[in-house]
Amino acid sequence: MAAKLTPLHPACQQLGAQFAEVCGWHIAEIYSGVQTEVEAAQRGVGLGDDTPNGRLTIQSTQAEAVVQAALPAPAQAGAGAAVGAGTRIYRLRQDLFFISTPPGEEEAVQEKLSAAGAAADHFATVVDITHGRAEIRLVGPASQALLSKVCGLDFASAAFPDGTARQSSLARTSQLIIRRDAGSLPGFSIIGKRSLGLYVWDIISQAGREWGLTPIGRVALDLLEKDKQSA
Amino acid sequence: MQSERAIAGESGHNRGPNRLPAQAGEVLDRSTSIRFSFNGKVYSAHPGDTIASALTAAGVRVLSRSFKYHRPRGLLCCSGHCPNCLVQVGDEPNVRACQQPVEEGMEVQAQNVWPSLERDLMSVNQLFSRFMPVGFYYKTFIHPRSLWPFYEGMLRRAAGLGKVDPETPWGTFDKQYLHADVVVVGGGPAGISAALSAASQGARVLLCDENSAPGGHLRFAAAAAPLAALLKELEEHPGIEVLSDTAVVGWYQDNWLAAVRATRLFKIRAQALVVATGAYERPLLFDDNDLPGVMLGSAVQRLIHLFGIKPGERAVVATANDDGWQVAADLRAAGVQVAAVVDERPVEGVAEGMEGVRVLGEHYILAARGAGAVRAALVAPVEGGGHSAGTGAQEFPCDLIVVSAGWTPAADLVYTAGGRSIYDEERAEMRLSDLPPGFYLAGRVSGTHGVEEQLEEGRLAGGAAAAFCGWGSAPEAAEIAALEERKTAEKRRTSERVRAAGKKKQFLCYCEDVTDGDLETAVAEGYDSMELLKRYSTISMGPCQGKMCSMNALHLCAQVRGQSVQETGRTTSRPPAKPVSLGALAGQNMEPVQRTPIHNWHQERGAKMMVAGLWLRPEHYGDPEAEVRAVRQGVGLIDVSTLGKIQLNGPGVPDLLERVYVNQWRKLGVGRVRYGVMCNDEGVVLDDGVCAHTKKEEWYMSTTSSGASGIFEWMQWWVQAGWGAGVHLTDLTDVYSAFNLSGPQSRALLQKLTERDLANEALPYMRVRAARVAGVPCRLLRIGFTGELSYEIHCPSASGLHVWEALMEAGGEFNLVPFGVEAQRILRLEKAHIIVGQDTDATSDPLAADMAWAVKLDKSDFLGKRELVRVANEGSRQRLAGFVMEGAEEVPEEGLQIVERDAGGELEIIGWVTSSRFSPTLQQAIGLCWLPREVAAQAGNAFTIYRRGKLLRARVHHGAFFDPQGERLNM
Amino acid sequence: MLILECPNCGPRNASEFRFGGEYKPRPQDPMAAGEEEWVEYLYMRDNTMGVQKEWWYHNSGCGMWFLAERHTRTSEVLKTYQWSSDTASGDV
Repeated sequence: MAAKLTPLHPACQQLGAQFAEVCGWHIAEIYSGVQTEVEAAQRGVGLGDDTPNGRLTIQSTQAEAVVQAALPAPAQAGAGAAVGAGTRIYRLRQDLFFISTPPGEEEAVQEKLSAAGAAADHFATVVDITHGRAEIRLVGPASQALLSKVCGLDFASAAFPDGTARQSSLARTSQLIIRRDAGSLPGFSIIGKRSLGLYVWDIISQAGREWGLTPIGRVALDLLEKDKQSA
Repeated sequence: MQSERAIAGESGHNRGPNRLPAQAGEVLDRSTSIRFSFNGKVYSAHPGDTIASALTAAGVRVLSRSFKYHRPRGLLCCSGHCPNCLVQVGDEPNVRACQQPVEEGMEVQAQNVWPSLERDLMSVNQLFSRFMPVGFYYKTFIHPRSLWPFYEGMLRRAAGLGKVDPETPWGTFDKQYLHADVVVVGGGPAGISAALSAASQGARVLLCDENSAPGGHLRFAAAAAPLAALLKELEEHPGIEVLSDTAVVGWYQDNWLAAVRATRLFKIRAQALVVATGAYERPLLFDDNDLPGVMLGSAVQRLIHLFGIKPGERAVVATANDDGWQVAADLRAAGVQVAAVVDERPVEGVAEGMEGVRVLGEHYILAARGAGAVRAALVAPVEGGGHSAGTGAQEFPCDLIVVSAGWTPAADLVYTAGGRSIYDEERAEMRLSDLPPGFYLAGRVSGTHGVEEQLEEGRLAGGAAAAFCGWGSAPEAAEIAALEERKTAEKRRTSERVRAAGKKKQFLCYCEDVTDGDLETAVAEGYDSMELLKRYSTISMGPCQGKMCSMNALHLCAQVRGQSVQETGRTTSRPPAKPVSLGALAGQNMEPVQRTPIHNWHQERGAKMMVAGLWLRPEHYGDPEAEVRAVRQGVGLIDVSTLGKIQLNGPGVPDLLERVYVNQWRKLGVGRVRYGVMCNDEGVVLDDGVCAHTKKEEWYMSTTSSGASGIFEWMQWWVQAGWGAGVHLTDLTDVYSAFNLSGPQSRALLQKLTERDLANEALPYMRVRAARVAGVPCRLLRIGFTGELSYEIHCPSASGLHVWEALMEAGGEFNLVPFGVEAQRILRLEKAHIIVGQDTDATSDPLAADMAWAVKLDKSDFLGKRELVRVANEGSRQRLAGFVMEGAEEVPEEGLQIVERDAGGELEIIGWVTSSRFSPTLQQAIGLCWLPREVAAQAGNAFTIYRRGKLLRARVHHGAFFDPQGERLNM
Repeated sequence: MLILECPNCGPRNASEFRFGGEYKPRPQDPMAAGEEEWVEYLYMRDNTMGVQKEWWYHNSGCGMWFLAERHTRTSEVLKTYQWSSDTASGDV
């Protein structure tokens, strides 16, 4: 089966990305060079394509209990709890949770959740919406200011700390905005309808020009995510 | 200096004869020079100079011509409020020269001049000014009517300020949202003090100041002692963000503010607000008070202290307060000869530093003298209430008249926020009251003029604002009372005089050239309330928005009418408080566009794209009729990823479907698909589409592309408002791409890419199956909008392009063609399938829309049932019906009216065409239309369509135009 | 700008929401409802100048429909809350 394409693929291609296959996804790996990309993100803001991440929703009046049973999370489940390696749980509503998994792991997580749902008193619905969303990654000290140009939320760290997930209007579209720092750099994931992905990417690229927004590939992004000293 | 001027003259640019040695608080970088041009002549400036300061330094006094009379105008307020220095910079009109920093190579032009600033022929207007009284254009250009086009052309040329260049490239404007606990508007001593005190209590503070740096009047006051320390504290406080060059132009509900900095609009959400916007210095009315060389005291101080400019050689200072004396002292220190200080108040003794200056107590200014610029000032003693005639008048030669006679609170934001003004007769100033919650004042805007008091008031207001949003505690009542006492003890600073007893024009409004006489005339004509006066005389409606004129107009109106200022009232304030460019209001272009995963493929194949909702879809790939033929004869493929897709899960789904659709669902087995129609309770068709029962307790609903988001919202509402027991909804519109493979060859083609048996028995019409297509797990729905054997292939979006390309490749041997929306419209019309929203409108019920077969009135409650039962009993007045044109190639445009001759022979509208196309299959123009039920009842009934004066004949057709038995669907 | 408190997401700009009209509960059994009751539900709107109970949809946010009690003259929002069968019976 041919590799899956993200909605941002045409933009990445135009920006001269070298692509690689990651968990069945055709994904931008490097643009100008890993070091340049890392430094640009550390200085201003880097823009990446994180669409290959798995995305699930679970609906149930007992959603929290089902999630707890399937994915035992440290102490506080709910918004922003990290489970194991890279799976994160966010409460969007009392009866609706959003789960982000590393690329390719959505199926396994869905199975766990569905099993837990089937065992619960109230019926639960787990849906894999991976294909329905574009996921844009912003990393860098200017990412908060950039977002304040396209969204009315308060992105100050005190008001929107790491791990926060909020759904709001971004550039006149509905998006799920998650504060997900990369190492010690502030970072965000912007998750919205796949069909709007390219539009949002373009708007963000324009809005970020004043901070020297730079596209960053998978390799640079991985480095930034791991590097606690990157700031 | 003389020799320098000579050199400058030779080299073609001017270095500035009026430049003083470096001043303590100046904003210039004297180490380097930049050049710009004004009306084609090159001038030199230092970085930090504004256009106006650089020109003033170079000795240029006339910056513009006035709006109506084209009188020469020079720098007046030097604070970005008056209209006198509006210039055109490049392609941008109406730039305030006193605020716009000079940039290298900037091209500046004077506005409203013809042919030139120096010799303006339109200035003859003032010779005829007795024929151009207030309201003259309402009165004059009415008769004769036939001449209006001529008048209009003439007025259009004369009106407006600056030139708009339609070729101007798109600017880069944008917006930014800001959030703070306390927003302080105005960075003077009161504002800085407020910011520091709010931040010290823990609040997150944003300070907006419209000037290039905070400091307010301390920046250009001679005694700037506390400023440096304040600025240091401000800069070092981590809880304060300072935005300079940022004007707050609007207050809205919930302390939501709009502010502008250059090309950016800030939308600021403040929990609490401290307005420390200061005050506008008020001009005085006297003869020819608009001559270049007449300046406000604060303008002169700005020129001297911020830009190191000597504003004139010889000055007369006209004042009514101590501020004017400070200006006189500043002038002397700058080397300006002060010819006289004219104070309305009695003056005892000679002030320090004023030795040798003629001081005239109880005198006022009667007139400016000069042609094109001030040459002298005429002053006279104040007598009997200050309105004396020119007895005992004296003339002082001078090139500068400085006016310092009072302050008007810069209260635009306060007024728009619902604050009231109360006129304080004692102080002759406005007092503000009735502020909304979380709204505080500090400094000159609240009538506080002493620096010490401003700092204290700022401290109290900042503390109160912080406390309002939960940070620290509010100031003690005793502290507030103590400050009030100190404020009350302050001396009055405003002139008592309304106007001079002059003989010439006294300009009230510089923007629109309204004089005291005009205002008097307007009041005499009956426009005697401030709101009427404003609209009739256009006073306060120009670029300054009343900042220079409103208080003087109010005083004058009160005087003419013989009533108090409070009784006279003021005009309503509305945002924006300062002019804002349309670009800043528009911001970054944000028009969402939805693209399908196949978007680029379509474009590469030359598809003509069309906008459908937010989606871009291929309308056709060149020849829609050929696309129709391909589908009918072979096979075609259309991208229908835009269809709405909703997954419904749970035991409660059948009940919900029964309620939201007009047809039956409870018995639909797993693997089956049904077409459904949705109505609202009015019985009006909302949407249609198919819904598949995919698994136990799982359904997959499709909606029209245009209805996708609306139907999801609609369903959510019923689910969340009582019908949601046992139902979960998930919007899968973007999760799945969908393509309709349609045509007699579709089975053979698709079979090449899947192992699932596609034989009619294995996958019959109106069934759904899971299948791998080109290796991708898909859902196949056998449905037939086009009337041909069709498979709607729903595949995960990230693999959409792969599946599409696999189909195209496998389709080579079948001559597969991609088809667009236009071909689909023709195909469905040949089958007489309706499009909701095109063939139906907000009054169409499904019974009338020829879908009675889908309505099950005998089932239990559903949306629309009661109204549909009523319609079924009463019968529909109009019916949707098919038609064929008698002239086989005449296609009536959609929307044309269907007419009939009434008894009197007049044409009466009896229906309208909703869809029409030339059918390439039938070689016949066909369509759908709404007709009276009796006309629609019988197939073959003739009727006429009115088209641009001609009557076209058509005949009613029942059922599908092509393949009426639907045999091709069941192959 | 009006700020509206979504019962789920908290205070947000009003532009994130869609107005859903006056709260007009549907008769339990439309077929059994009297003509007046039915017309009242279908077509009549109070258009109050004062506090109105009304529907809002957080379309840019969590997708929740909720009720707001809002003063139509001042736009002051007194409270917002999620619909439940209890709120349905306790009309304002």
